[in-house]
Amino acid sequence: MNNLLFFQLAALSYLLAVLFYLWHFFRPSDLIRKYALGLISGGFLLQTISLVWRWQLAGFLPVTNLFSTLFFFSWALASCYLYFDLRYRIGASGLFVMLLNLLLIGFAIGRDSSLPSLIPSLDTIYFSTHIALSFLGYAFFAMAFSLGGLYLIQARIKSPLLPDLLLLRKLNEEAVFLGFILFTLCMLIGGIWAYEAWGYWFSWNIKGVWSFLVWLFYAGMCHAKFVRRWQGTGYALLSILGFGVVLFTYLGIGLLLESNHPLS
Amino acid sequence: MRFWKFCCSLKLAIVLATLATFLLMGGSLLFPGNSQLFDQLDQMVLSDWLVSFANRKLVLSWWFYPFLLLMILLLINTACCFIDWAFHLRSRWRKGGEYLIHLGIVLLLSGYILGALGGWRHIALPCTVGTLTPLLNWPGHYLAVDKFKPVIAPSGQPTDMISEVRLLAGEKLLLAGKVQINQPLLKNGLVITPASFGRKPEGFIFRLKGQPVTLKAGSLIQRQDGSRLKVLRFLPDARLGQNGQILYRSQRLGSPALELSFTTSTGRHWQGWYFLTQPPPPILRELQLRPLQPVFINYSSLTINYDPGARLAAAGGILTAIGCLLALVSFYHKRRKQDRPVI
Repeated sequence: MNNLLFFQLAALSYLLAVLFYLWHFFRPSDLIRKYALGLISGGFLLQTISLVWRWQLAGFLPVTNLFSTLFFFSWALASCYLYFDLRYRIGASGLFVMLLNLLLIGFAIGRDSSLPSLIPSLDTIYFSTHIALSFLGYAFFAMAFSLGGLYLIQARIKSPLLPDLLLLRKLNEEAVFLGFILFTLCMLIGGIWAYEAWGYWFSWNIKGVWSFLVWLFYAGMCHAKFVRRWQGTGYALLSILGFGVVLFTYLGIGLLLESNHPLS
Repeated sequence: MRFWKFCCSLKLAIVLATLATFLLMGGSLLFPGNSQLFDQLDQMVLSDWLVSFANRKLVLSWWFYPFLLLMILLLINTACCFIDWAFHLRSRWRKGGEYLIHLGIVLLLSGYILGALGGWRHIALPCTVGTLTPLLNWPGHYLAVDKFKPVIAPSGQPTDMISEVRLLAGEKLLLAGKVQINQPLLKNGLVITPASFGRKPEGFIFRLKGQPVTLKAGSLIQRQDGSRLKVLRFLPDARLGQNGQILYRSQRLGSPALELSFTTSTGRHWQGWYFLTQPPPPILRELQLRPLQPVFINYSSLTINYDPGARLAAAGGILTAIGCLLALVSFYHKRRKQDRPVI
């Protein structure tokens, strides 16, 4: 059996969940919403099995090429969505988040899914922890992006299917806060790893610089929520802009520019 | 009081962080097209880079100076925020996690500045096994690699580089131990890590009157007839210049040459160069020298850096991590207590 079979089934499950959310959007029903949530939970379970299987096969957390990182990012985003939905019942907001997740999966499909051998300097617990925290942080930033987008939509259409503006604002701030905490820990562990592997803890390679920019941007956002002018719409716009910075750091640098960062 | 409030201002922090973000965003886009300038940033500490590279290409590097100034102002602003919080600890203790992060960041940035001003780097310094390699940025100090063993996988890929090294101040031993991938040698801000390895030619095996002999710098052959051959130098790739001087070209095997000192059995002395791509000088003909194959020696490229701010930065990192965990706990605690309905 192919180790990606579960991933493909998970993708199908997410796709069906999106369709159910669309259905729910046009014909609101609590049952349909529950089916959609069930499909996301099932998809997440299947993707987790696939991730564990690939981890077992590789002997290390498989996050060393673009396919594997997109896979892990998608898994982290699904887990992040489940956290918010199970905790706050955000319902139809899942449509927006799972569409983003399907985009990640669509971008991964067709790419090289092999498990390359690990280069020696990556063979450390710091590497797995650094990457896991980084993508969990990215997932919360993606969640903040989705919630920011939903906030702007809700501010215009005032749909009863979406959470109210106050809750959306609160969730957006929570997503940014959690993402920032995880990303800070990721940067600290990356620093320890770099010091042990290369002898300096901050590198000026372009990936390192943009990771610092991501951190600085979200550190600013954690403060901006206390400024009245930036609350609500301003914060939603910043969440969208911030995710642009995240995407450029994650994909833009690797695809458009050159970097000597070990994961570029 | 107004000035202090300004120094601790949240809006000031946001303005400084925003300006620094935009400057670094714009400036970093110059990195890929100007690798000769910006790739050097990791090869040396920041103060050296500013003096040796940035100053000479201000058209490309001008933005770095206002960025550094903004970061220093942000550091001061963050420190002021922490001090202000500490003075109001009784009423603001619940924000302890967040302010511990502030203190951690202050220490991290201070550690970086200290390292950038007082540190130095030797990146991928080739160290031949059994010889002392001087550290140019730390006069009077040497690195000695006593043993080196590359670990190669069956696929041919190197999986580790194990070096047994000693750091010497003149003849005094400062540090000794094993260095391998992800297992550096650390002491008081000094860090030694493996960078790469290779081999370089150090001499040649010859047939001398039918007998194989290895000739490399320092080799001495005392023959029974009283003649004496000594190798003074070996150059793997050399050429004779127009004025008769020897020009060293590279470390790779190209046109190898030996500087020899030869005393014949009758006491006649000769010293000169023997280019192995040409027949030996006439005086050496009686030795019937025939080059057979080169002799290689392994070298281990090591990075040795000194960062006087490393311990301060480590303390900052630990405080930041503790602050993150405390902030996380207090976040959910506040949620449960409903004492902050809006975050």
